[in-house]
Amino acid sequence: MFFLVKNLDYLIANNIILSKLNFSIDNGSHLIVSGPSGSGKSTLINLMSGLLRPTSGYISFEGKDYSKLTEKDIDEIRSKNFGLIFQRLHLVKHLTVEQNILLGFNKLKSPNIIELIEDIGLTSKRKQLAKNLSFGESQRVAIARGVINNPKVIFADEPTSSLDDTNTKKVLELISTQAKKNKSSIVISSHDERVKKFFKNISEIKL
Amino acid sequence: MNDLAYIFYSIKSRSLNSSLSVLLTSFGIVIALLISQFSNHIKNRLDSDGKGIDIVVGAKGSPLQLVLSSIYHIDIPNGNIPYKSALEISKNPLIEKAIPLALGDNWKGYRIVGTSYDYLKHFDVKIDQGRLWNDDFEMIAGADIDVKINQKISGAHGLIDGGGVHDEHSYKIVGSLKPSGSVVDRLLLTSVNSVLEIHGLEDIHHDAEHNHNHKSDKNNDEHHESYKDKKHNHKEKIKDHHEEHVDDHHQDHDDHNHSNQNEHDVNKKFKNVNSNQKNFKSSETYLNEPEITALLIKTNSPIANVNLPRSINRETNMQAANPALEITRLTSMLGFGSKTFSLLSTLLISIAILSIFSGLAGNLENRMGDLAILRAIGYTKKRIFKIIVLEGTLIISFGILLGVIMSFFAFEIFSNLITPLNVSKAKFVLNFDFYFIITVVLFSGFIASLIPAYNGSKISVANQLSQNI
Repeated sequence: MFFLVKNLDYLIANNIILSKLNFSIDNGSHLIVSGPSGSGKSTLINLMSGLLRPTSGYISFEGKDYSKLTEKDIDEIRSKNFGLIFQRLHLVKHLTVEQNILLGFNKLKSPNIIELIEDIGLTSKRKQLAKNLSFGESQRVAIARGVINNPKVIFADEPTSSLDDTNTKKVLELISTQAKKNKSSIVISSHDERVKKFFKNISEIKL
Repeated sequence: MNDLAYIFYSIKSRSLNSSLSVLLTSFGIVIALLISQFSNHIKNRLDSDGKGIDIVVGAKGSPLQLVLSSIYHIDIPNGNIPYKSALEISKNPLIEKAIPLALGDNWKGYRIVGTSYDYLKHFDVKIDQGRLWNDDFEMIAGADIDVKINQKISGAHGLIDGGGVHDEHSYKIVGSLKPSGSVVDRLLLTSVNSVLEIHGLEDIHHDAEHNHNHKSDKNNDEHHESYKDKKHNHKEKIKDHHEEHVDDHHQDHDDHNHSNQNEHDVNKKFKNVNSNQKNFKSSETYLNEPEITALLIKTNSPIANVNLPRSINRETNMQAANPALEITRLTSMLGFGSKTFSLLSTLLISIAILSIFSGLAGNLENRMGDLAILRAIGYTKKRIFKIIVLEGTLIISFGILLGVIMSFFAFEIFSNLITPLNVSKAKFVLNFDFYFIITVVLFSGFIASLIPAYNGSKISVANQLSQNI
């Protein structure tokens, strides 16, 4: 089992955010986490990517039980296996397009950086600072940053919220293409019904 | 992207704040290093120029002034002492070496010093070009003085440039000295007799009437006016007397009064005083009761360093000063000034370190989102901590580097502006103090980075990312 979640609870100050969640993801399949705003979609993404620790329950990735791992171990799993795409992008504004994409790398040049920047259509803006990019361009940079490590799992938190149909299509196609290229699984949180049709072999969990 | 590149771009993005921290650090370093370098150089100069001189005997007055004027040549003398009295003192068996000094004139600000060859031996100075003085009004120049062999120069009265010129006599440069790094490099040396003759001190009666006081300009002027009137006759008298004496000396040498054994010893001690290599005995006879400015004494016993000045101060009209004691007193007085500068540099460095702290800590608020992203994409807490500490340490390192470069140039400029104690020969040395200052500042910058680094590494990534939404 690629991802296994059992009896997952998450509480903040005695408020139940997630309760008794059980699901699994097989290698190469995808998951959509749907639900209204405030239902805990981003929290689940954070728990699965190891950014949060569950109140109780069990999460494992490739058989590794999160509860038995140190923070450093989880950081390492995240660094090697996961790519994260955030709803608000969170680019480092004083870095260029290329530098933002390469943030996750310790080497100065990634072998596929040129190809990746070409894929997102920002070759001419490679050296442009992130603060000078449009929202659409920033979104493509955030996606590229999420896939630069050739991750086994791409976590995308509300990637299409506040986007029109055209841009939703562009973004989801970009994620889908990159996932296919790297044979990555996608865990995507969204309340957008348009998302499902872009992915085959996708299961859904409603919150 | 490697961490150093990330840090570089992070510092660059806060260029104003970072530059301010770098500049504050560098200014602090400049002041601290300049104080350290100049203090070190002045201490070395005071030690080396005063080495081997245990007692200075001169006219009554300030002992510090006596030491400064006679050993370091940076102050005016208290006055003169009778040569006869100096001679009496030098008979003391506790004295190993006594070097007479006759001051009073300068050439372009360089002091003309009438002395013996022992003065050169004391500083271990060697002739570079030409030869030593053999006759009256022959002179050798220290390495810093720009003169040519056979050049004729006229001394001006007083110890600083601008006094009345002694037109009646000119000196002939017969040699120049190799650089020694000592006070001698800035002196013009001649025989004692030359200096005395210029000031008309050969005649005991003339001398008695015109008590030549170098310290008082007024007295000097009055003295010179009255001296001019009598000069011609005086010179004639000296000449006649000298010829008569030389004849007597050659024809009936045994008639000289050598009965006193002590005096004979003194002759040995004062040998080479006379430009003609006559012994002291002959110069004593020739000069009658002249005056000199000071006597530099090396004793043969540490106890003598304490007892001899006491007895001289108690029993004579002269003053004996202990250079070591006076220089300790001087440095303790100067210590107040250097402490003020040290305090200022500490203050500047503290401000610099605080600015680095506030720069990192204050900026942390704005960087929380960036740090959260780094954590989210796999940067460990340790790596974030390292990045922030390195950032602070790099800023302080740039400041130190700039400070050291600025200190070097500032030292070169200031050392050429400060002529007393021959600071122009000073070199910027990488001594213990240099490394100590740099290490302390670097360590302080490192410490100042620790708290922001700790706070930055402990951020809650999920909370931070949700807050930034």
